[in-house]
Amino acid sequence: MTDAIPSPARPVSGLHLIWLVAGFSVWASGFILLYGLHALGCRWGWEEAAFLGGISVNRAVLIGVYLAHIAAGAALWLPLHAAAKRWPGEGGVFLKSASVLLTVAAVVSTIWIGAPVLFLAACAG
Amino acid sequence: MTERREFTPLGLHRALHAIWKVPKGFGAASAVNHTVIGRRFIVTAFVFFAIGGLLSMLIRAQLARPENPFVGPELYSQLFTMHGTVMMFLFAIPLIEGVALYLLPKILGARDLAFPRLSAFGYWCYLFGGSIILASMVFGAAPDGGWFMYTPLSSREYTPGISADVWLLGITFVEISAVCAAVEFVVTVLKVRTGGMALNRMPLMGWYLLVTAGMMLVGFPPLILGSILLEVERAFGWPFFDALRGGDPLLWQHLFWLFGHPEVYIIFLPAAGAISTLIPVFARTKIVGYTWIVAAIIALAFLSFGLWVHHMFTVGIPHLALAFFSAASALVAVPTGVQIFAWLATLFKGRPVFALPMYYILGFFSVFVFGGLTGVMLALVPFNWQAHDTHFVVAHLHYVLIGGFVFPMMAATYYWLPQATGRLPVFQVSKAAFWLIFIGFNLTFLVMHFTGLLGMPRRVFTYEAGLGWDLPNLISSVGGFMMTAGFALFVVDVVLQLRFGRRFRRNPWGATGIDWAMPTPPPSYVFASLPKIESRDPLEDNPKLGADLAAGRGYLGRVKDGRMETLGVDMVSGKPDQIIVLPNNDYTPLWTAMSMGVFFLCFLFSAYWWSLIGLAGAAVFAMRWLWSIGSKTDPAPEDAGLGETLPLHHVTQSPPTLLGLTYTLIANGTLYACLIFGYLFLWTIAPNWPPEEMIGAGGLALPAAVLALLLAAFAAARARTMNAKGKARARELWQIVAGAASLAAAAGLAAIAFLAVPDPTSHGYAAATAAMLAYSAIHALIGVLFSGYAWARGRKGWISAARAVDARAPAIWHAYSAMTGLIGLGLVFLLPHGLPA
Repeated sequence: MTDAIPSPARPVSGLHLIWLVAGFSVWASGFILLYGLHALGCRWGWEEAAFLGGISVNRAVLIGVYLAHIAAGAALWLPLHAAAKRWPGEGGVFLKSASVLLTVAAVVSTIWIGAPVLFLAACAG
Repeated sequence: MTERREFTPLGLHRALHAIWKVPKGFGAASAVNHTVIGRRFIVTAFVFFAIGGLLSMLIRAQLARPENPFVGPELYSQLFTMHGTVMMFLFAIPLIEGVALYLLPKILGARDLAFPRLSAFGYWCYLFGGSIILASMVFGAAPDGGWFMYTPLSSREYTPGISADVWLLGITFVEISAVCAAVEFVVTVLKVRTGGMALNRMPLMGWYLLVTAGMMLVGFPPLILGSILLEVERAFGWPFFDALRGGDPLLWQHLFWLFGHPEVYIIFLPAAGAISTLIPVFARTKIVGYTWIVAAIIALAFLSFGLWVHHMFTVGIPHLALAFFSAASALVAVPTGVQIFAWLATLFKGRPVFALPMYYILGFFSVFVFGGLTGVMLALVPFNWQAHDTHFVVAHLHYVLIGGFVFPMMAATYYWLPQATGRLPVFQVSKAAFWLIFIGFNLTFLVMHFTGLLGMPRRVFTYEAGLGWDLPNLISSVGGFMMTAGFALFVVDVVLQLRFGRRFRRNPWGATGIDWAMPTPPPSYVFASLPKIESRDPLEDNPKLGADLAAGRGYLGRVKDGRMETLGVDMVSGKPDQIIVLPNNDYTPLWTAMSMGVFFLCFLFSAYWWSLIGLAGAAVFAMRWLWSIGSKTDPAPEDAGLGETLPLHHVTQSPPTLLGLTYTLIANGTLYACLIFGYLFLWTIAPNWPPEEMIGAGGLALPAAVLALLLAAFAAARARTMNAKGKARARELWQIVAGAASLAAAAGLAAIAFLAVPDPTSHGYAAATAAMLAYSAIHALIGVLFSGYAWARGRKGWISAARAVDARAPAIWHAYSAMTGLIGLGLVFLLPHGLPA
C-alpha cells in the first residue's frame, strides 16, 4: 500500500479528522446564516429596500450567502485533495474516502436546502 | 512482561479480579466499574419503561370508548405528560447510556471507560432526577403540560404549584447525566481503545456511539438552557418567555426543539449501530459499505440539527424559512436510506440465519421505513398544517421511536444478553413475545394514523361518539394491551433465560468482534490482557483470541502495584501511546450526586439560599474527586507487553482529562451560543420591544471586568508556561494572580449586573442581559476554583513539568471564560447602540 503513496507521506493525525466535519460545518454555517439573516431582513424591512435590478436587499443578501457557501464548500476540495494524497495506508484511504463523500454530500445539501431563496417569496407568511 | 509471566491464566484472573472487583452489600454503592454501572442503567431504564408502559395503558383505557369517565382531564394531562417524559428522558436516553457504558470498553478492547467515576456520578444523577419526577406522581404533583412543556402553559401564571418545576429541575438533573455520558463516550472512543484499533478498524458501533455522543454534546445544552431560563422565570419572575414583558414563548419552542429533534436521531443512531453490528453476524458476511455508513451517520448528525423548526410549522414563520426546514427534513431521509440500503445489501450478499434477533430486525425494517415515510409526509408544509397536533403525529412518532429504537434494542438485548449472562435464551417464549409486540404495535399505531386523518387531536381526554373515532380508538386500545402483554412476556423470557438458559462457552452467534473474546459473563476486568487489532474482524483472524487474552498474551497482561490499567492510543492510528491508570471504587460520585440532589430539591421547594449548600457540597466533593487522581513523582515508561514501552497517562501530552475538559467546554459553549441566540431572538422577534430602559454605562466596573478577564487568562497561561519550564515558584505566583483576577472579574460582572442593568423582572431585555452577565460571572468564579485547586496541587507536589494537567487545565478554562466574557460584554454593551430594536 505504502508504495503507491506519493512522497512525503504524513501520518494521519487527530487533527485530520477535521475533514470529516469540514464540509458539513460549511453547510451548518450557511443554514444558520440563511435562517438568521432571513429573519432579520424581514424584521428590519430589507425586503422593501430595492437592490440592483429590482431585487430586494433581503433577497440579494440571501442569494449572496447561498452562493458563497456553495463556493466555500466546493473550494474545500483543493486543500482536502492536497492533504489526503499524503495520507498513507488503509487508514488514509478510509479517511480520504469518507472525507470526500462528506464534502460532496455537504455541497449538495447546501444547494438543496438554500435553493428556495432563488424563487420563494421572502417574507410572506 | 516480567509481571505477566508470574501468572497462570487462572492466577492472572484471580489477581486482576482482586483489584477490579466490586464490593458486595452497601459497598456496591461505591462501584465505578462500567459493567456494573451499565447494567444498573439498563435495568433502571427498563423499570422506567415498564412505568411508562403502564401509563400508556391508562391512556388507552381512557380512549377506548367515547365519553369515558375513567379519568378526568387533569389526571389525563398528567398521564400523557408523564408517559412522554418517562419514555423520552428516563427510558430511551438512559438505555442508550447504559448500553454504551456496558459495551464500549468491550468492543474497543479496553478494560473500562475513560472516566469510570463520571459513569457512576451520571447514574446517580439519573436515578435521583428520575425518582424526583416519579415521586411527584405519587404526591399528585406530576407535570401536566405535555412532554415538551410549552410556555405560556407551563409558566407560573397558568401552572402554579411545583409540577412544572418538577419537570424542569428533574429533567435538568437527568440531563447532567447525559452530558457526562457524552463527554465520557467521546473521549473513550477517541482515546481509550486497544492497540492497533485504527479508526478504520473500529467496529461500526463505535462510530455510531461516537457520533451520538458528539450530538449529545451539542444537542442537550439547548434544553438545559431552556429549562434553566424557564425555572428562573418561574422562581424569580425574569420574563424570558412572557410576551407581555418583552419575552417570547416561541423562544422556548426553539430551545426545546433544538434539542428535541436531534434527540430523535440521538435515540436512533445507537439502535442503528446495533443493527449494523447484528446484520453481518446473522447474514454470515461482512457489512457492505463501511465507509459509506460512517459518512452517512456523520451527515445525519449534522442534518438532524437543521430540522427543529418542522415541529413549529404552524406558529407563523415566513414561508421561505419553512422551506429551509422542509428541505432539510426531506434531505435527512437520504443518509438514513444509505444505511438501510447497506443493511439490505449485506443481507442480500450473505446467507441470513433467522435467529431471534433477526425477527426484531425485520420488524424494525417494516416499522421504521413506514415511520420514515410518514416523516417525509410531515416534512411537507401543507400536509403538516393539516395533520399538526392530530393523532397522525402521535402514530408517526411511535413508528419512528418504537420502530427505530425499541425494536433494534430488543434485537440487541437478545444478541448481547448471552454475553452478559453466559446463557442462551428460551426461544419459543421469545418468538411469541415478538409476535404479540409486532402485531399489537401495528394494531395500535397503524390504525392511529387514520384516527388522526379523521381529525382527532392529540391530548384530548375524551371525545364525542359518532365522529368516526370510536372504532379506530377501540382497535388501538386492544392493540396497545396486546403489545403490553408482549413486553410482559419479554420480561418473563429474560427472567427464564437468566434462570434456566442454556450455558455456553464462548461466542454462540459466531461473531467476529472482540466483545465475544472474553469469558461470559464478563469478568470485572473484562480482558485479562488487551488484544492487538489488525483488522475489523479480530475473532475471524484468530478464533482462539479469547484464550490467548485470558492467558495474558496481549497488552497489559499483568498486575502492577495494584493499579487498574488500560491502554490509551493515538486517535486515528490506534497506536498505543500511554497506559491509563483508572480509579478504584469510590463513594465520591454518590456524595457529589447527593449534593446536587440537595440543590435541586431545595430549589424545587423554593429554599433558594439553602440550595447553595448543595452546590457548595458538590464543589467540595468534586475537588476531593479530582484530588485523588495523579502522581507525586514523574513515573518512568513501563513495559506494556507486545514490545511496547509506554508512559503513564499522568505524563503524556494528551491525557484523557484534558480531552474531557475540551469536550465539556464544547457542550458549555453550545449552551452559551444558545443563550446568545435567545438574546438576539428576543431583541429581533419578541413583542413589546424596545424596553423602556437599556443598560447603563457601567462606570469603572466595565473596564475592570474586561481587564480582569484578560489578566486571568494571561496569568493562567503564564502559569502553564512557567510549569513547562520547571519554575514551580513562578507557576504558583501566576496561578494566584489568575485566581485573584478571576475573582475581580466576577465582582466586576456582578457590579455591572446590579448597578447598570435594569430590574431583570421588568422586561425580557433586562432578563436576557442579566443572564448573559451571570453566565460570565459564574465562569469567572469557577475559574477561581480552578486556580485555587491548581495552586494547592502544586504546593503538595502533584504538579511538575511532566505532570502538567493541573497547570494546563486552568489555562484552558480561563481562556474560555475570557473569550465568552468578552463576547458577552461586547453584546450587552454594544448592541443597545448598534442594533435596531
